[in-house]
Order: sequence, then C-alpha cells, then structure tokens
Amino acid sequence: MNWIAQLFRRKRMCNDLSEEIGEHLEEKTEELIADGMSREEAWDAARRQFGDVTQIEEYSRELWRWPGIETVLFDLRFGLRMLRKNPGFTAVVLLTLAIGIGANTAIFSVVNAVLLRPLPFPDPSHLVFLSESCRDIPEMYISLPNLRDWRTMNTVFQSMGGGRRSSATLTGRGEPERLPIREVTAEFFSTLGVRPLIGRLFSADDDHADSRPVVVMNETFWTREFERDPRVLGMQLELNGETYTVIGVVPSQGLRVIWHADVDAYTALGRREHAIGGPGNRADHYGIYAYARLKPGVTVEAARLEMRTIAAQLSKRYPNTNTGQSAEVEPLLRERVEDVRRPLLLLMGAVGLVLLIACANVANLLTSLATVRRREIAVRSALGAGALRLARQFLCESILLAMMGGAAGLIAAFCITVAASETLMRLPVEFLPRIDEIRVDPAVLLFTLAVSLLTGIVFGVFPAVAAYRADPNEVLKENSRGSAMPDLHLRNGLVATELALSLVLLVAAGLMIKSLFRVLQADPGFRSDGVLTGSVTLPPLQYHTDAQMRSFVRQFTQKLAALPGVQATGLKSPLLGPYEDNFVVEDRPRPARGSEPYTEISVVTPGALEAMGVRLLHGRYFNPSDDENAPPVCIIDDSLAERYWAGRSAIGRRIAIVETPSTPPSWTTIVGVVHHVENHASGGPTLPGSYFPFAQTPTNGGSLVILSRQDPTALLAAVRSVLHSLDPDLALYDVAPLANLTRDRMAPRRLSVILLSVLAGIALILAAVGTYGVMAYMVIGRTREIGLRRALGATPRDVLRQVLSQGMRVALAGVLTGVIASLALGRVVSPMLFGVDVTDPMTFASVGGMLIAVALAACYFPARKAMRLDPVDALRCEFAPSGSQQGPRRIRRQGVSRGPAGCMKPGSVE
Amino acid sequence: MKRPDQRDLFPGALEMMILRTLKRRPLHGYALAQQIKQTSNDLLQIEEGSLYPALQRMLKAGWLKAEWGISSTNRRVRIYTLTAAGAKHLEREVTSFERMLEGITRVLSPVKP
Repeated sequence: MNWIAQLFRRKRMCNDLSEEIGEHLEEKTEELIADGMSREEAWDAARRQFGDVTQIEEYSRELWRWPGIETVLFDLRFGLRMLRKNPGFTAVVLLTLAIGIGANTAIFSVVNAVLLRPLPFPDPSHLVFLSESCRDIPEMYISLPNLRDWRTMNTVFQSMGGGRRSSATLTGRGEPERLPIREVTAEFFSTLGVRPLIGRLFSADDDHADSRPVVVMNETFWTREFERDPRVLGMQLELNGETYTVIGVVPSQGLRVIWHADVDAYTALGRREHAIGGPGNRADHYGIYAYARLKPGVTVEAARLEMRTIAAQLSKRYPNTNTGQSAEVEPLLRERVEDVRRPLLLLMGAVGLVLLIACANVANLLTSLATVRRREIAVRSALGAGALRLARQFLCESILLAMMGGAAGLIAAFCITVAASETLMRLPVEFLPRIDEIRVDPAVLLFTLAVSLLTGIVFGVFPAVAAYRADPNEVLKENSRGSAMPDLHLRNGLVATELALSLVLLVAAGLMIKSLFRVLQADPGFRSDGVLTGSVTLPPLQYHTDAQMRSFVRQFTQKLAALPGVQATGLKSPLLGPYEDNFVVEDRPRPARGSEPYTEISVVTPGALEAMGVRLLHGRYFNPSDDENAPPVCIIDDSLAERYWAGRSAIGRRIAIVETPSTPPSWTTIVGVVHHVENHASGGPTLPGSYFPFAQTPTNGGSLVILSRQDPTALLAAVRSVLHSLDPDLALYDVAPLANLTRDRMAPRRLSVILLSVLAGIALILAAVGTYGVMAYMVIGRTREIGLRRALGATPRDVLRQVLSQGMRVALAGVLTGVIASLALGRVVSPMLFGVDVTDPMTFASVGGMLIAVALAACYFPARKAMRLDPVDALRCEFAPSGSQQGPRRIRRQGVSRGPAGCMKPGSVE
Repeated sequence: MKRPDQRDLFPGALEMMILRTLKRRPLHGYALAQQIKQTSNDLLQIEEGSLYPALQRMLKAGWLKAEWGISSTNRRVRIYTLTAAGAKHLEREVTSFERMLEGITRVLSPVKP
C-alpha cells in the first residue's frame, strides 16, 4: 500500500466527497421541487433525509488518513505546546533526564569500547587465550615445552602462537634506552591475522635456536624513532648487545589490547630455545601466554575440554613437572578485559539505578501535571476521546520529553567523555584497556535512542494509566473541593522506590569509600616517601654467568650507597609482586605434588629492605657476608611465620623453594622475620612473602630502591652516571618515586570510588527533590483537611507532626526496601571490597540515617507551610496554588459571598 | 458514539447491496441511493448519507472505482464502477450470506411433527 501517495491523495478525496454530497443534495432538492415542494422545504427535507453531512465528511477524512502517524504528529504538536506552556516543568524534567541518560550514555560508551566492541582482527570471535593453571593460580604462564606439545597434540585450533613479555636495551642510538618488547613464536601474528604495514613477519626459519637475529618493529616505535621511514627495512638495531636486522613493521592497534600496552618491537621466541625451551625447562613458566584461532565450528567449550585432556596426558607423561597442572581456554577479548569487567558492569548498574530514579521523579512530575490537567482530560474524554487515545497522547508527550532529554544527555555524555578522557588517559593503560577506543559511535547512539524511548515509556505509563482509569463523570462532577489526590498512593510508591534505589547506590558507594580508606590506612608494610626506584636489566649476552651478575650488582650498589644524601639503597627483584613460587617447610609433612603452598618471593641485596622501610620484627636483615660462599639464608614475613611457627621463633628454621618436585629441596635458613608487605597488585590480599639474598640467587637485574635525605629525583643524574661508569650500554628505566607506583596501583579503586560517589550523590539529590515534590503536593491536597483540624483545635505543632509522620512512613518504607535490596545485591560488590564486610552495619546505619535526614528535610518545608496555614483560609479552599497563598487572600478581600468557587486550582479548564 | 457506518442492517449488508447494484451498471451516488430504495421496495430504509462512508470505505478497499462524469440530467457527478476485486468480494459475500440465510431459515422454520 502506497501510504505516502495516499497522504497526498487524501485532500483531493475529501474535496471530491464534499462536492459529491453537494451535488447529491441539489439533485434531491430539485426532485422534491418537481414533486411540488417549495425550495426551502425541499432543501430542508433533502438534508434531513441525508443525515449529518459534517459527521460523514469527518468519517471520510479519518478513513483516508495515513494510519496512526497523523494522530501521533498531532499528539506531538500538542505535546510541544504543553511543554512550552510549562517552561519550569519542562526545564526540570529535561535536566533530570539529561543527567540520567547522559550518565548512562557516558558509561555505556566506555562499556561499548572496552567490553563489547570486537577486537580489530579478522574473525575475532574465533580467537582464544590459553594459559596453564594449577590449584592456587587460576592463570599461569605456559612453559615453552608444554606449549610445543599443545600445538602438535590439539585438533581444535587452526593455529596457535605464543608471546612473552620482555624488554631489551637499545644501544648505538644515543643514550641507551630500555624498550618494552615481546618475544613471539612464528605463528603469533598469523594466528591473530595481523599483517605487516611494511616488510614481512617472522617465518619458521627465524624462530629456532640458531636463527639469525631479526626484529619486527611496532608502529609506535617506527613513528617515534624513524618518522615512519620505509627505509628501516634491512636496518640494523643493537638490542641487548646483539645486532638485529629489521624485517617489518606491524600496526599497534589491536596488539595494544593483547599486551595492555604499546610495545616497541618483537623478536622471535624460538631463539631463546636454549634458555627456556629445552626439555629441561618444562618446569619453567617464563611469562608465556598463548593465542589461538579456533577451527570453524569448534566452540570454546569444546576447545577447553580438549586442552584439559591434553594437559592431563602431559601430567601423566611428565609427572615431575606437570603434576596438578591443567590448561585454560578463554575467549580472547573477554580474558583481556576481565579485570575491568566487574567495575564497569557495576558502574553500568549504578547509572541504570540513577536513570530509574530520574524516571520515578519525572513520572511524579508528569502525574502532578496530569492532576492539574484532570479537567481538561475529562472534558476531552466527555467529548469523545477514547481512553486509549488519551493514554496514547500521554505516552507521546512523555516519549517526546524523553527524546529531548536523550538529546541533551547525548550532548552531556559527549562533553563528559571528552573531559574525562584526559584524566583516563593518564591512568596506566593496564588498568583500563582500550581507553583510546572510547568514542560516541553508532552503537552508542542506538543505545541512547533505545534508553530514551524506554525511559519515555517507563515514566509515561504512570500518567497514561491514571488517565485511562479516570472516569470523566467523576472528575467533572467533582468541583474544586473534592478530594483530588487519587494517585497519592502511586506517588508515595514512586518516592519510596526512589529512596530505596538511592540507598542501594549510597550503600555501594559507602562500602567502596570505606574500602578505599581501609586500603589507604592499611599498613602496606613498607615506606614509599622519599624512596626513588628505577630498573636495570643485564643483557644475557654480556652477563650470562652468576659471577658477572653478582659482581656488577655488588659494585653498583656499593657506589650508590656512597653517593651524598643516600641513606640506604639496594636492588630488589621484583620491586612489588606478584611473583609467586611454591615452597616447602623442613620437618613438616610434604604436601602432595603440585599442591605445595605459594609464597610471594623476591630477591634482594643487603640494604634494599632497609631502604624500603620493611620493618624487621625478629632476627636480622641480610648483610654483605650472606654471599655465595655462605650457607643459604632467607627472610620471611610475619604472616608466613605466623602460619607455621605461631608463638614460637621462626629463626633458624629452614624452608625451600620447590624447583621441581623431584629435585631434593635446597634448604635455606630463616635469619629474619619482617613485616608483611601488601602489594595491592590484585584485588585480594597478598600471599605471605619471603626474601632471598641476591648474591645467593642472582638474577639478570631488578629495581633499585634508594632512600635519600634530599629530593629523590635530584639524585637521578648521579645514579645514571654511576651506572654508565660501570657499563655505558645499560639503560636505567621505569624511574619513579615509589609513591607514584603505589598511587598508580590505587588509581582504579580510587576512580571507581569517585564515580560511584558522584552517582550516589546525584541519586540522593534526585530522591530529595522527588520526596519534596510529593510532600508539597500532599500538603496542598490536604489544605482543607488541615484547616478543619486546626479549626477543631489542633495546634500548628500537631499539624507539623502529622505531615512529618506521613512523610517518614514513606521514607522508612523506602529505606527498609533499600536495605533488603542492598543485602540481596551484596555479592555484586563484595569482590571489590577490602577489609569491609558487605553487611557492614556502620555503613548501612549511616547511609540509612542520612537518607532519613534528607527525607525529613524534604518533608519539613511543606510541613512548615501546612503548619502556618490560616485555618479560615484553608477551610475555604481545597487547592491553594502551590508556592503561594494568593487564592485565599484574594477571596477574603472580595468578601465571603464569592465563596470557595472562586478558588480554582491553576491551569484547570472550566 | 455511533458512527454512520453502524446503521447498517447487519455488518456488510449495505456494502453487499451497493456491490450488487453496481454490478448491473455503474451509477453515481444519488442514483445508487434511489436504486437501492426502489429495488428493495422501500423495505430497507437507509439514510441516504450513510451511503457515502460505505462508498469511501469500498473505494479504499479497491472494490470500486470512481470517476467524474456527466449524468443523464446533465450534472457533474462521480460515477462508481465495480472493479474485479469488488466483483470477487461480492461473490464471496453472497455465498456466505446465502449460507447464513439458509441456516437461519432452517432454525426458524416450523418444527415438523
């Protein structure tokens, strides 16, 4: 059916009909005249026999109407007129909606960019992330020999590639620079579907122990160092003292999500074969994760099942190294954004609640407006507007409002996103991956449109239902004195809901704030003020023996300690975990293979723990004599000591780190017990810690810890020159005050707290406004009753008490519902809390108290107005215009004889 | 509120009569009204006006076509013609009407001893 043509045809159709009817009447008239009637008589008779011309024309007009749309257009026009007539109302509603929808759009644009938008690889839904796992570590690095076996044994993947976080020192181009690099297998890029911008990627020939050293640059590094010059291909780069040939450049987008950072270059993992890949290295889990592409038709679940079977076979084949180990398969995107999923969804839920509160408020306002318009609606209904027709008009008006609010919200969200991206960009990228991808795209627009529509329907339903139910006879009969609060129950319900929702948000925010304080107050076990840190890595080519590493680190730390202003210094690796390993305790039954307890370990030189202010509780710190020739020693923390030697001294006991379950433990004697260090790397508490002297377990570098009297950054130049005096090709990198590092680790928690608190604050304000609105409405509606009470001897105090108690009943109902809802929703926030119980009575009590206080304040002003009503005026008039008492006063001046009839509510149609 | 189209004898009756009349020959509104009155021997009193909503409805449904022309009395009139769809509809309606009539007749006929 061609509706549009019909729309244009309609006018012609109607004109045709009018003309036709005219002709009909004339023909009839003439016939009647021919029968002997006078012209007037004939005309009247013709019309009588014909029936109602107007009605017939009207009917026909409706018949040819483009179905529905024109009525809707009419409703919209009418709605716009209503809104223009009530600018204050419109402004309040639009502001409320803009806040609600804007907040939702802003958070959704983050959720969309981070959690929903597919990774920029071909066919990204087939990409999975692989890791090993064991009882205590749900996501564990894969040992290279295991990865090789996985690749050959599986039947579910098209291809599988591995990658390992690493870094390399770039020399020969000015100041030595430490580059974040990744060592990847030859299949890594092809698995993801990454193509080079220029040049080529790794082939199998580049990826074994004897391959020529080649390097693939990342786009960012290519841009930064070479201004995207294509002549880099074939160029030589000095990395870790080895000469690499540049073979290609890869785009950074997409890969940034894989690594949670921009890396500078890629080298082939297979060249590390001797160090980490040989059969003897099956127990070593050297930072490798794997990425695979599912064969068409294979589900993640099927792949997981097969990989677990393969891991079980490997455990049987290599019981010494693989016992208790399994394999994990997760969709790639999901795994990469796992850490931010919960906080983001929590925020999404929070803005959803804010929008619901906004809806309740707007529904309340609209119901007020509908009450004022009751007579108008009754008149329209008496004139023949059907109940559905009226309800549709209300819905049209509310959807119109919601759309306008949505547009305002979209603009607000856009501004928020632009303003916030500055702040968010400064966050360490691993805390909010894909942050650079946040923008308002079609998905966000669609979301806003859908939310606006839904919002309009949700808050439009209340007045629409009220209009549908209203009996026009009742309304028209009812004069201005009648009880005009048929929907007070509905509105009380809305306010109670608002208070309950706000309570849920406030409790969540309260718990998070308390957690943050607990985290900040909690003794981290070390001191960060005045401590400078920086990292040094010793390239394996020049420093491949323990003696070389030992001698460099010894000289370096001694020279640093001699610098003016330095109070204590040392090297620690890693600076702050997580870096976990299994251990066993001497004279204790040895746990089953693969189920040994874990400890957070680090290797330190004498002076490092002192510089970081890790407090000694018993025994001693390490000293220079704890060297390779001395008996092996270690220091444990009080939480480990408490677990095994509660109440007794741990000094002199022995523990051992488990190399492989088959090798006999190499016992180390505990010489000191220090305070537990909390690293806040993960959501949960840090594992018990243990420390080993560098000289006895050398590694290829670590982090400097320098405690100085002067401004730590002022030391930097001196530290660099000491380093270069020992080896001009070493880079000092990740230089930062220790305080920055701990602050960064706190940043996501702090951000969640700030956002949640802002949302809870908005909710509180909206709920307060809503409560005030309903209480004011109630007082106006009860003016007459209050007057009667006053006339019968009630004191102003009694009136105040009555109004307040009415409001408090609603507030208490809301708070109670909110408490129950919060308890039910507790497990949503519980994983994000620290040192606070989800049912923390203090938080619940203070939030509940605050809400009741706010509700009390919102009731107080209407109640005070009720208290001050002049009983005589009040008795005369049921509906005083809100906010003023002009009506009654005017009547008094004009004399009682005019009576209450002169006192109409504003805006009503007589 | 009563609409003009609800004054039919039963739903569809007026339409059926219009279609039947127009099947014989195309007519304009006034002539159509007179024709129906005559053929029904003035048994079925219809308000002449009620014809027009029905005509509009049937135009919209595509059962009729309307064209401006000149009547025998030299008037500018709109002449309605039955379309193929209209003829088919009439056939269907008549069949179902006859079936209904038969049923009613059977129920109303005196019970045989």
